[in-house]
Amino acid sequence: MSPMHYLLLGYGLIWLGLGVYLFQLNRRLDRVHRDIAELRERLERTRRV
Amino acid sequence: MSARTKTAFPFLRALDLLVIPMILVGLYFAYLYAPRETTMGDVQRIFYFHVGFALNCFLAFTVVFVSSIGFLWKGGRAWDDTALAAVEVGFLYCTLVLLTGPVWARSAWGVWWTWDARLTSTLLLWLIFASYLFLRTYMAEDPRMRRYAAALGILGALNVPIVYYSVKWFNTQHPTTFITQRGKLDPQMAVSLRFCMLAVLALAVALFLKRRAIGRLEEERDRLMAAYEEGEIR
Repeated sequence: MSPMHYLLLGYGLIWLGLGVYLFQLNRRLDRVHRDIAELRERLERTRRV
Repeated sequence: MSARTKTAFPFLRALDLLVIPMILVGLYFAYLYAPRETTMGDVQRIFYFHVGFALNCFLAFTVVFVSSIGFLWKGGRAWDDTALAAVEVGFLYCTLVLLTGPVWARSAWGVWWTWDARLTSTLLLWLIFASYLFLRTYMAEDPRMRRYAAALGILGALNVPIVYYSVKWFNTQHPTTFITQRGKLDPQMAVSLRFCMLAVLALAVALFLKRRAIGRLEEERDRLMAAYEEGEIR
């Protein structure tokens, strides 16, 4: 492998790792946000009944 | 949903819009703007981000140190959430340091790994925080687990100065600076390095704030779930 290949491999590993982590964080953030909204709604409904 | 949660959510999503362009500009600096290093060639360009990841990993573990002491001293979930978020970001950055360093080493030294003081102490740092994350994943959620995690966080963070000064204290192969034909850091290289470090710091802050917000929101969700289940039982 040439130095350029090593460079591409190095950067590839960086951005793949960071991209996966950022994607997973955003998904978790969305999910927990949705769960809270749903629970609030359910609690409101229970109180009304 | 609390007012604070409502306003924090769009802000956290908007952080990506700030950080991603900064990373792209950083890539431009590292790949195209910075001149080719004389002895190592193009593979040296790894360092523009490698150094940023290493320094920000130290910064994250310093946050772990302070927040773990805060948790043991004062208690409270906020300190613990801060420590956990900082460990995740620091651990991710430490992993990237350990992945990109060997890629450069294979090209420059001809080996992927050597038991050099800097490399070995960084691996030790990574292992301590890997065990921190194992502890948090596999031990039941209770105050005792949080105290153990805080103690381990402090112990792990104490390793940071050893890693940082290992190149001065021991006879090590790890480079401390990179130079050009003029014998000092080229101004274009210096600008590129500074910008990449700033971009990596911005990314670390964004990841940390998101991860911390998840911890706080999960706490709120658990509280709501308990209130809902209590209402159901009645």
